[in-house]
This record gives sequence, C-alpha cells and structure tokens, in this order.
Amino acid sequence: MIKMQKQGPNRARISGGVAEALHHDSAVKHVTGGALYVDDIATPPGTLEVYIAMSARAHARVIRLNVDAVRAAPGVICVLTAADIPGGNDISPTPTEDDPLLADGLVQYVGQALFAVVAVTVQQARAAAKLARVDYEELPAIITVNQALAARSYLEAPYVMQRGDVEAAIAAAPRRLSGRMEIGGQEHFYLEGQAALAVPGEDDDMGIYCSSQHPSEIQHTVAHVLGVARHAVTVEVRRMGGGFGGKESQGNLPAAVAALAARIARRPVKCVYDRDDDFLLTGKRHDFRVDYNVGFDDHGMILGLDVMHAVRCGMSFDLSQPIADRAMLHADNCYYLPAARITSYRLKTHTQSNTAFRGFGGPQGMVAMERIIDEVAATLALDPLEVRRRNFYAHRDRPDEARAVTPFHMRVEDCIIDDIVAELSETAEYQRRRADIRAWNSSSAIIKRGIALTPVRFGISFTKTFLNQAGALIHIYSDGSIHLNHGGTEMGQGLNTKIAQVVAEAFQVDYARVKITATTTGKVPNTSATAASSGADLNGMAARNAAETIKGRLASFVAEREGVSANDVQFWPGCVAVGGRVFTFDEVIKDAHMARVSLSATGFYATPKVQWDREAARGRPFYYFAYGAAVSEVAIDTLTGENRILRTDILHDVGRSLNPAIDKGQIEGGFVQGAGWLTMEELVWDEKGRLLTHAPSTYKIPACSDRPGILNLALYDRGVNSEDTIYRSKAVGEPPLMLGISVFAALADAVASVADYQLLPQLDVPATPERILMAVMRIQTG
Amino acid sequence: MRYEAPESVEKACQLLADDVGHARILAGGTDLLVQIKTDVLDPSLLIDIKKIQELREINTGSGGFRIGAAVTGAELKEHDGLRAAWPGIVEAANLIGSTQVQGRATLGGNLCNGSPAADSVPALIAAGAKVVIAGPNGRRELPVEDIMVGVRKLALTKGELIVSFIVPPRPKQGGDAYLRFIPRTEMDIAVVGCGVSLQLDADGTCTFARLALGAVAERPLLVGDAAKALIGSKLDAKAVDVAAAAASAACRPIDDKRGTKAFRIKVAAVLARRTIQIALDRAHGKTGTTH
Amino acid sequence: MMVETPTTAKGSHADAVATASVVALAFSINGRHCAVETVATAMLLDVIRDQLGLTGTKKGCDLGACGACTVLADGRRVKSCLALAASYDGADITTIEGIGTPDRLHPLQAAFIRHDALQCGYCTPGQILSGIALLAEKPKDIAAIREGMSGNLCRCGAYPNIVAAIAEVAGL
Repeated sequence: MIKMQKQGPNRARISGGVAEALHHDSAVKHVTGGALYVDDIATPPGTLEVYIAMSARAHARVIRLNVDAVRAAPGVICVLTAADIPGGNDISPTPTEDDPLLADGLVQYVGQALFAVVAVTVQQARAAAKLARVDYEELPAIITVNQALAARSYLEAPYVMQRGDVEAAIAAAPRRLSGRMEIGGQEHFYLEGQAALAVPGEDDDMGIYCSSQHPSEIQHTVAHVLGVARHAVTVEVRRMGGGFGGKESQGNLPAAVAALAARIARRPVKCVYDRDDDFLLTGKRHDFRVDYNVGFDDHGMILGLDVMHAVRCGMSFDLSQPIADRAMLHADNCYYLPAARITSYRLKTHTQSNTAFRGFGGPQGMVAMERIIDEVAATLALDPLEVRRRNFYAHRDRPDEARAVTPFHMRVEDCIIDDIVAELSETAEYQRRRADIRAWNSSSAIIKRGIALTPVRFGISFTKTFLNQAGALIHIYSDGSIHLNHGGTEMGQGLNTKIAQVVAEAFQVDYARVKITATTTGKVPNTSATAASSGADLNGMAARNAAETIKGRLASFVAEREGVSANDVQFWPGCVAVGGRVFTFDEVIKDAHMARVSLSATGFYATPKVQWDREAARGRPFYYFAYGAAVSEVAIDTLTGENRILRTDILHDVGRSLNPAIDKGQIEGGFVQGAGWLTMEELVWDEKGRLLTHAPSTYKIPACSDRPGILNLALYDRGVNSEDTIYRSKAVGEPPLMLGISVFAALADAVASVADYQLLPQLDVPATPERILMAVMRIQTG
Repeated sequence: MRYEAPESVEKACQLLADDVGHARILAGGTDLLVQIKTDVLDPSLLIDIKKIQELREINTGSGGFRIGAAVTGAELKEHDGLRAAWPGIVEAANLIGSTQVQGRATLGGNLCNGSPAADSVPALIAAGAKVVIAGPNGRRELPVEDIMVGVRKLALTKGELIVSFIVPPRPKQGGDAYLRFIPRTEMDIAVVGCGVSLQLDADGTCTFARLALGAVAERPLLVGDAAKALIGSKLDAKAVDVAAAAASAACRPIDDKRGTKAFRIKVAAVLARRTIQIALDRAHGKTGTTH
Repeated sequence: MMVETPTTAKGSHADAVATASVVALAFSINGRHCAVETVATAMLLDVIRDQLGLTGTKKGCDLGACGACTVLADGRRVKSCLALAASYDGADITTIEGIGTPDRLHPLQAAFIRHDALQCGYCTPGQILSGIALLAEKPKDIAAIREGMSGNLCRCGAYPNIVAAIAEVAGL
C-alpha cells in the first residue's frame, strides 16, 4: 500500500491512453519482419496445399468433369468436387444461397471455382489441375452493365428511394440538365492475398487460421459446408495484410476449401491464392452507370434530382444489396435535395461477384453527385464551390427543418460541412489559387491546371441494423496484466491499438499493460464483420463495457474492505483511490484474486437510435455522419493526357480522435486509394468475360511517385461527435476514400480550361490519360 | 529444367547448340522468369550468362562503346562516358521497371525478350547500334533494327547468342533522346516509345537523323521518312511537323482496345516532336535529362 | 460444345518443377553461411521463406511488381520472387531479419516507427530493405526518394510517411 498523497495520484496521466498518438501496436514487429500472416505460420508436419481450378467460361453448363488424370498425378492426395461436400454447397455471405463453393453443373463466370486439387505442394496441385477434362456447353453470357440493362438481367426488383414530387420539381425548375457517367470498379489488391490454413482436430473440430475481416462468417460458412454445428469450428485472425472490404466475404472460399480438404484428407491444409488467381476468383468494387436528370435555379440551387444507378453485381448477390443501397444513401452527399428519386438496378452479369470495397457503394453514389454539382456550376458559370455551399444541408447549430431531410427521410442533425469547407478553403487559399490557375492556363498552351474542392459526408452504421453489435472479453491475470480480446479484426487500420487505448483509459493503467490478442470466435462469438468503418465504434464500446464490469467488481470489493461506498472508489493513473488511501493497481488485482473476485468479463454493445425500414426506404440507417473535405490541384498534358496531382489539402473530421497518428494514416491512405480508383485503376474484361487486367503489370495501383507533390493534412480540431460514441470519436476507415473525388473534379476542371470553361467535358471514372486526352479532343472539336 | 552457368561465350553457344529441347538464355530474368512462372515458356535448359565476363563489361575504344549483353540498366547509368555520349540510351534502359528491376534487367535481355515495347531498343536503333552475335560458325554483326522480326521472333539461328552491342562514337554536334508514354491501363509496358538521334553541322542544319518507334507495331520501327524530313532542314517547325506526321503514319498498332489504336497514333506524333526537341537541345550542347 | 481444360490452371511450370534438376547452393544469409539444395527452378524468395524459414520476406504479387519480397543481394536490392536462386550461388543476401532486432533497430526501422510509415505491415520489410539500398545511393532530394521507392507498392497508401522516414535518415 502506498501512502495517500493528499493532492491526488502520483502521476497526472497514464501512458498510452485515449487521444495519444501511439504507433501501431505491431509496428516493431512489422519493421523487423516478426509479424506473422497466415502464410508465415509454421505448419504442422504433413500439411497439404490446395489449388482451386477455375471455370474457363463465363456462362456454361458443365457437361462432363473428368478428374481421373488429376487424381493420378504426382503428389496429388485427393480432388474435391461439388459431390464431395458433406454439408451445403454454398458460401454466400447473406441468405441468398447463390454462391456455390464448387460449381455444380453450371458455371457463371470465368474464374469460378470448379474443383480443387489437394497435393503435397501447390505446384503439384496446379500441374495436376491442368490434366482435367472439362466439357462445357456454352450459354449466352451477359458481361457489361449495358447488356444487363438491355436484357433486364436483375438480381432483384429495382429499388427506389423517393422524397417529394420529382417530376413536378424538375419540370418547374428554371433550368435543367441531364447526363450519364460510367464509373469503373476497383480491385482490392491487398498485398497479402487470400489465405487460410485449416487444422482438423478431434471429433468434428476444425481450426481455421485465416486472413478475414469476418471470422464469424468464416466459422458459419465452414460449419455449413462441413455439415457440423458452429461450435465445432474455431476461427482465428491475428492480422491481415490489407483488407479494404475484399476480405469481408471473399475469405469464405479459401477457408471452406481448405476445411473441406482437411476434413477429407484428415490432415492440415493450406489454401493461399496466387495473385493472378486472386484477381480472377474474387469480386471487386461494383462498377456503375449513373444517369441523372436535375432541375435547378439560376443560383445553382438544386430543386429536383432524378438519378438512376445501374449496378453491376456479377453472378450472385454477395453483399450487393447493401452496397447498392448505400450508393443510394449517399447519392445526395452533402446536399439537400427538395425532391429526389433514386432508382437502383442490381444487375446480374456473368462476371466475378462484386463485393465490399472501402466505401461500400458510397463512393459511386457520391462521385456522381459531385459531377452533377460541377455540371450545374459550369452551366451557370459559377464557381463550383459556391454551388456546393449553397446546397449544403442545414448546419448543426443553425437548424432549418426545411433543409435537413434526406431522400430517405432521415433528419441530418450533425452537419458541420460548412465549417470544414470554410476553414479548408481559407487554409488552402482556394479562391486565390483558382484565380491564379485560370490566369496561368490562359498563357500555357499545352499544360493546363485544374483545382477543385469537394466535400464528404459519410453515414456511419451498418445499414442492416442487426449488424450494429459487438462483443469483447477482458481477463485480468493475478499479476495485473490485462488480456484483451474483441470481435474486430486488425487489417492495418490500428483497431487493436485504439481498443487497447480505450481499455487502458478505462482502467487508468498504462497501455503497455494491455496485451492485444488474435481475434477468435472462441473468445467472442457471433460478431459482425470489421467493416462499415465501425470497428472502433462498436468494439471500443464493447471493450469499455467489459472494463467497466470488472471495475465495478473491483470497486465493490475495495469499498467493502475499506468500509466506504463503491462510489467513493476512484481509478487513478496506475492506482485505485478509496477513502483517503491509495493502492496500486497490481495490489488491488492481487487482493481481489485472493478474495475470490472474478477478474474476467465480457462486454457487449449495440448501437442506439438506428432503425431502418428498407421496404419503405425510410428511417435512420446511420447513427451519425463523418465529414471531411479536400482541395486538389492537378496538371494535365493536353497532348497526351498525362496528369499529376500537384497539391492536396485535406481537413477531416474524426470527432475527438482516439489516436491522431492512426487517424491521419487512415485519411492519407484512404485519399490515395480513392484517387487511384478515380484516375488509374482500370479493370477491363473482354467480350467473353475474361478479365484482361489480372496482374500487377496491367492493373496499376498508386505508387510512391503518384502521391501529390504537396499533401497537407489536418484533423478538424473542433470535431466532437454529437452522439455518445466512444470518447466522442468518429469512424475513419472509409470516409477519407471519397476525398479522392477532389482529384477527379480537378482533372475535369483542367480539361474544361481547354474550351475556356464554356462547358464541362464528359469524363468517366477512371480518368486515365487516355480518357483525359479523348475528353480534350472532344471539346477541342466542339 | 536444367540450369547451367557457363563462363565463356563458346561454352554458352555449345550448350545452346547441343540442347535438344528449347534452351533459353537467362540474363537478368526480369521477363523470362515471369514467362516461366506464368507458363508462357517452359524451357528445357536455362543458361545463365551472368558469369561470362565479356558479357558484363562496357569497353570504350575509338570513341565508341562495346556494351556486353548482360550489362544492366543500373550499370549503364553508372558509366560516366556512356551517360555523357548517349544519354538517350541510358535513360531508355533505366525506364525498364522499378529500381529493383533496373539492377537486374539487361540490354541483351530487353532485346531478346522480343517485345515490341522494349524501351531500350528504339534508343539503340536511333543511335545506329549494331549487335555482335556469336554462334557455332563464329561471330557476325547485325544492326539492332534487324534483330527483332516480329513479336517474340528474333533473327537468331540455333546456337546463336547476343554477345554485345556496338554503339558508335557520339557525333560532333550530335544528340540523342528517348521518351515513352505509358497510360496506366495498357496491357504492355510502353504504349509508345520514341528514340531520336541527330547531328547538326556548323550552321545548325541537320546532317544526320534517325528516329525509331517502339510499341506501335509488331516490332520496333526505324522510321526512314521521319529522318528524311529532318535531314537537310534546320529542324524548323515545318520539318518537325512532317517528321511527326511520318511517325504517326508509320504506326500500325497490333490491337485496338478501347480506342488505344487512335491514342497510340496520336501520341506517337506528340512524342516524336518532343523527343526531337530534346535531342536537338543536346546537339546544341544543352544538358539536362528528361527524367 | 467446347472441350478444354481450365485456362487458368498453371501446369507446365509445375511440371518443370517436378522434373527440374537439383542444384546445390551456398550463400551468405544475414552474415551466416548457408548451404541448401534446391530445384533449379526455385526462386530466391521460396528458398528464403520455405527452406530457410525466414518469413519476414513477403510474397505479394510473386511477379516482380509489388516489391514486398525485396532483399539485398551483394548490396543491391532485388525482387526475390523473380530471382532464380541458382544464380545467387555465392552471393551475400540480407533479409529483414538481418537488419535489426526489436531491441537494436536499424535507424531506418526506427524512423519507420516514428513516422508511422506502415499500416497493415505486409509491404514493410520490402520497403525497409529498398529504403536501405536507396540510402546507400544517397538520394539528393525528396523527388529522388519518391522515384527510388516507386518499385515498392503500399496499398494502404502510407507513402507520405514512408518518404518522410527515409528523408529523415537521409538527412533531407
């Protein structure tokens, strides 16, 4: 026991609490090569490897699949086909049952898993796979958005969100314009490909080590495929080498194949995709066609907007329904629309089943809205920023019922975009630079510059309300060390670091005392994916609740012993103060253990307030919104279309940051990834549905030399979440991706300079050099 | 597959001649190993030539250069004499991939890979470089532009191996340059590459010119009409216009993916113009690099 | 009716693997002498990871484009996924495990931590080895760092911090 210090605790602050800019918890392991990913785990002796053989046809009946020669090949242990699956042949992440593990008589994209070869080495498995004889009967294939629209190839009935009389509003508007934009998809290109290791145990037990954002779903899928109860399957994820949404549902296939192989071969089996196969097997960001018809007045105020989203979903639902929904929920971005209708077509095509990708449909909805604003501004010869500001939702502190309701009938109560945009346009000198650029362009014949400021408002919560729940587990061992587990997964976003900070803060102990452990379904069950930017919001709250439970027990124990009320017990940095005495944390833990007080607790959290009536397209799908804005300046070469980001300034709202270093990393990284999607990452399929850009030599993601010459980034320092989130922070994973839209808008501005800003050129996503050059040529020829 | 690392040209030729399957030469391996990994190639024998000293050296003599076929882009960059005389060649060789790749990719490999988009090839053609070939019947020389006869097709016979490149001395009042363009989406590496070499006389009239294009046809092209337009002119706007138009006219792109054909033809003229300008600046003694 | 095998099954390389001759190699790895026998077709990356058990070197694209597998061979950076192991007989190889340890970090490793120059960490070992080689080349400015690091992709987009970490150690 330490003697009471009358003024308070012996230290003012714990080390590593909330709001400290701690480095990533695995940073030392990462820089020394000590961090283990699935393919780095030392495998048990006798571990086999599996190769997934894929369909060569976009749409065909498999008349005959003869794998006799495959079975006889050197090193092959067994060959798995649909007939070998003891449970259900379905790995779909939603109850749509349209994603077979292995194709059963029908293939629906080039790259679909057809059979799997289990061998001593994956090289042997791959060699053997080539010996299969597959007879296809080709069926008509639908590849593109336009083909699917024409064929009315819908996964489900078109879905509409509407508020107000759109036709009347547009008809009555003084001005109108309409247009179309094509928006390409995006390959995740996580540097660590999909990977899973299945280790069979006794009874029906199966242990899975994998690279997944959604361990619970891997558990459910593996149990379903093996035909066993979920309690037989334990899934562990220590970390991912990048996820970005691509490991939300796409990890089901390798895990289920490895588990099936392990069950049949009765040995551990590893399934690691090589890069080409990963491109061919897995879904990507959805590509869209957006058609729009907008009515507005002479000041650029939007009066009515009718938008059509045509969404290429691929061969199955996967997560397409909530993704396409979210695109609609962000079709307004930051702008109040007095009358709006968004109609969404979910198109079935014979291509990879598109899936979650950072932003989850939001970016596609938003980039189209920003394009509309730019066109309205160009039509009126107004500064696009001015048009943006005029149309913003009512400010949080200046409520205006008339300008606060979204097309899905939710009241926006926390809008601070005016403040962010005002501050950013000031610090980035938007007006001066815009004028300078226009002057510069008039004297530069070949190189043209462009600038744009675009805002982001991103809704936080899973739109499927039941997913907004999380669990955590904390043990305090008798030496005072803390073991922390929660349902979220670590993919580089620093989630574990943040949650450990939350727990350290709750107990008022140093961060170093908290050990973060691998996510496992055996410790925290029935979790949601680490997705929708919700990781820290949900798991932070759950972990804090677990900590509060233990603190309550400790307080009761100490209070009773000291003869005071539990309310008089305080957790001070590294110690517990009670009735004029102070005990070290270690002492309290040791004593509590001796006194038979439980030092382990679970915590649970369910997001309040959210409710969503999907059928009526009304409600409050989001707990709150995250805001941000970026100004980008670009230069284009009007003879080749080559372009460069010269400077980007970002101001982003993370509420009260849990960890400013990690949040800044997320913002920079999101921006880079968004700019990559919008400018250089291009997916091309041929008419047979074969993905041509299936390797890094043909699919280009941003490199070090592609980042802006100048990047100024600041967190919005007045940020505080209006809602009672974990320490009033805001989610940060996805919103910054859409800051990249400023680059796209700036490129369009640069092209517009060629025709002296008389019109805004048609420009699709991604704005590759080729597209930019074609846009320049189009407006030069009028 | 067997692996051999001979230490002489003769031994390498012998291995090539004796192999009954399909032997391949391994230099830097940056293209070959990708092709082996992705099943484009399945050689019976890999002959690693990095241990043959003659192939690793850059020799200067009588003002020109003899560059071993296994010299890497990074090694070219470290050679002050070559960098001063033929900056276009050095820059082209250092556009092959990232820094890690430049440390391995070789001039000989870039040519023998047989890709129409090979970056160093148009620069070598523009410079008037020749190739020394060793084979069972001794050695022979061919101009660089005659080596590649089609996509992945070379004018080499069984048992032949490229030993070195002979690059002439830099002409007085001469200059060379190489530029390329890569839209992010392209299936190949460069979409258009352009190499130019020029010589001026005392009053600034062009007395010698060569212009070569990469990635616009089934093999790199020497565009004679472009040279014709430049020789005898003072490289005025009109002459350059004609040369650029000749560059466009020479293009016969092999694919037409999403407007790329039109794009290549347009960009070829733009690049030709810009490359001529850099070569001209260098001929005038203006230094400075393009990258 | 079409008859064919799956287009994406990669057979012949693996066939070659099965019939490849074995080569005996000796090289120095992180200062330690090491002798291995491997097939002639083996890549340096696979020898390092699978035979030597040094898993700090990562397999990203396995086609020489992403840089996650970067190691140093005789001081030069090499993408080990596209380096035939047989041609590195006698070489001096350095992997991330030979750069520093948690209690004795190399200055660039320390700078990466200080600048938060990593997120998921998968590209980090390759970035550090590439950065160490670049430092030896004495980059003259930030542009040279950006250009010199363009062979190492970071999908998390930690580029600003990666450049800052290298610049700090370079004294720029």
